[in-house]
Amino acid sequence: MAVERIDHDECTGCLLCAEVCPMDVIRPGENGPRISYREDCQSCYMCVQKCPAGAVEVSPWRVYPLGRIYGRFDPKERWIPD
Amino acid sequence: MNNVIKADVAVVGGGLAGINAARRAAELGARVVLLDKARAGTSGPSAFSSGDILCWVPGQDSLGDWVQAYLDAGEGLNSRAWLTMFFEGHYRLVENLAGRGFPFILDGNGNFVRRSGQGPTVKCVLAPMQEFQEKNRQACASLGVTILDRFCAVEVLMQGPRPVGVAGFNLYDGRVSAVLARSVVISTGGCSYRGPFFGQDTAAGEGLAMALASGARLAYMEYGNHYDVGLASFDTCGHSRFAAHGGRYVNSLGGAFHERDETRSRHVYGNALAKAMVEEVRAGKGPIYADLSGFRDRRLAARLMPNLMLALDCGGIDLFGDHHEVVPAFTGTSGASSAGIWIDPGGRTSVAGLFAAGDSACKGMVTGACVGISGISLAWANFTGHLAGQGAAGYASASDGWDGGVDLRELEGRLLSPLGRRAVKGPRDILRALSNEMARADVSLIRSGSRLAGTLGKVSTWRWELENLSGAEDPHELMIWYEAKSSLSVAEATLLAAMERRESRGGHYREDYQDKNPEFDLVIAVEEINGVKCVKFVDEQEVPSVGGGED
Ligand SMILES: Cc1cc2nc3c(=O)[nH]c(=O)nc-3n(C[C@H](O)[C@H](O)[C@H](O)COP(=O)(O)OP(=O)(O)OC[C@H]3O[C@@H](n4cnc5c(N)ncnc54)[C@H](O)[C@@H]3O)c2cc1C
Ligand code: SF4
Ligand code: SF4
Repeated sequence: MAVERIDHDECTGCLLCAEVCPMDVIRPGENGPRISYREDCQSCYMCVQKCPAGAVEVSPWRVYPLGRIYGRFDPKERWIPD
Repeated sequence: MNNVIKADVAVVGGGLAGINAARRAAELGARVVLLDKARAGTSGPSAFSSGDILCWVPGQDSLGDWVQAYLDAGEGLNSRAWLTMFFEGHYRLVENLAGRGFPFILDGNGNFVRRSGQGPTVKCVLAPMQEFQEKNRQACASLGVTILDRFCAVEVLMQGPRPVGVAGFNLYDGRVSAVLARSVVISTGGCSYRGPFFGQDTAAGEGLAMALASGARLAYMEYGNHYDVGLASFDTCGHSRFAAHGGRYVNSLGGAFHERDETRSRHVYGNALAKAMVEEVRAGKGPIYADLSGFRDRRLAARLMPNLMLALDCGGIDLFGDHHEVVPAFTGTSGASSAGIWIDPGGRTSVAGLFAAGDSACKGMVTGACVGISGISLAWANFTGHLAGQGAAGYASASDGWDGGVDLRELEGRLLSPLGRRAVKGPRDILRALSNEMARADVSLIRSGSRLAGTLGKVSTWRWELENLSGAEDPHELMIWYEAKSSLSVAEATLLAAMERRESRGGHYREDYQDKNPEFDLVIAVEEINGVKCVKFVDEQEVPSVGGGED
């Protein structure tokens, strides 16, 4: 779950990706867009959608563990009493 | 950018609610500044939503039936007058917006295409929300609204009991600014704790925390426990609409557990569905999968959710053919929850001059105890944004400006104090730990007094760690520090209210008090006095109808 790379050979430097990124992951850098805070990417594909050059690559797969959503009810978890 | 900016109305957060508020206030002649920590219009869940907007339509729907169905679902905590005002006013607003060229999906005869959804009586109109929000942003710009993107708001500036503006910093250069205004609208969305439901990571509860700190009252916080359904192994926006459109959820044996009996299926919306999923897993029949082979409207889905389709294409995912594991995805007070800042029918909070709208404002007056009604959130943001913009413009024109200055150096020292502090623990780690804790079904969905107290203890520890052991390296991380601080505050309010409601009602279920108790036919409010949260019961008051939605 994150933006993977920006292909700088394809990139035209329009900075639309940086303008629309809701999570401030892509920033305007000295030589065009820069992936600055990848760990905050929410894989929303806004940058991919706006990029006129098809230069941004985002992966939809989740990297972070989901945590114990089922809490003590998850049969795979050890029973945790109150 | 100037360090001090003057305006009549400052709007904090540019989702559907905030941008509507800004546009409405500007239409009424106010000088408006719209602030967003990302890009106003296209950043919050509003832009990623699937565009189902709950809408009662006269001539097609009976107002009496709708109001009664919602009163039944609200289980004594919502109000007939609010419901009537909301349904009628929101319809007027939708008509006005459609007349002005906002993009709604229409059929060949020019009528709204309508879809059903999960809830007591749900019929929605549909709109491609990204397009809608771009148009809204352009409308604001052409009305002269000053739009400040990448401005992270931190606090409402107070002069005694009176709000006089908003302070925050620029995300790129860390510069602190004050927007001095006669009235302030809080519309930063809800608090999602960056949970496992997508397109809503900007919603970290800052508006709720800011409002609390300036003396405003929150209400229905125990219902800040909304669960949607999300995919377990990848991220897509807009999954929530699928169940209502021919999709279904099945257990590991292939059984459609929530369709098993007639009565139950009609009630399987929102948290009831999440609870059914947990029970299935508890009975050893997990995991749960989405079966979308019967999903209709694929072409429409592509129009409404372009980013979802991109994700599927780029990831080579066959969402409609294959079965994918789904999990209850906690969204907190964000989306179809009843929780938020208390407002009256004029969009006013309990602090004069401070207004709230959208997911920042509580929806309980219309949803009551019912958590998870399809289309309610966009309708609420649309309607209350308009209300708050109107109210804030009116308040600003009737009040004097504040001539006092702001001590920028003091402000800078305070707002930037976590910057450069040596951090043992990063704010991201604290926010993630909180998110994982609040998302647990045994904390937020199937509750007990002792577990709530246990989580509250952890929250206090994390708050202490954030304030004493954590800092920020740069303005971006400073934003996350404030997000963590705000989310902790919202979690505290939620847990305290949930402990106080010693019964089960609607989306609030207590293992230790499984029945509904008429003694609790009361709304729970949370206020902050000298930094300490206080919980009290208030009578749910009937409110006079004041219209809304007019052009
Ligand atoms: C994937 C998905 C699908 C959904 N589908 C539907 C649906 O079909 N129907 C429906 O009714 N609801 C749906 N929802 C819920 C709905 O989108 C939201 O509840 C609603 O859009 C909230 O609108 P809002 O204007 O209150 O806030 P948001 O859209 O959350 O906007 C808040 C804005 O405030 C900004 N902000 C936050 N903090 C600060 C700060 N400190 N300083 C400055 N700015 C700040 C944010 O950047 C953001 O732009 C969906 C949600 C998601 C995530
Ligand atoms: S949007 Fe595409 S072309 Fe424009 S700067 Fe970003 S990567 Fe480059
Ligand atoms: S996918 Fe979304 S959050 Fe990630 S970099 Fe692109 S625009 Fe930013």
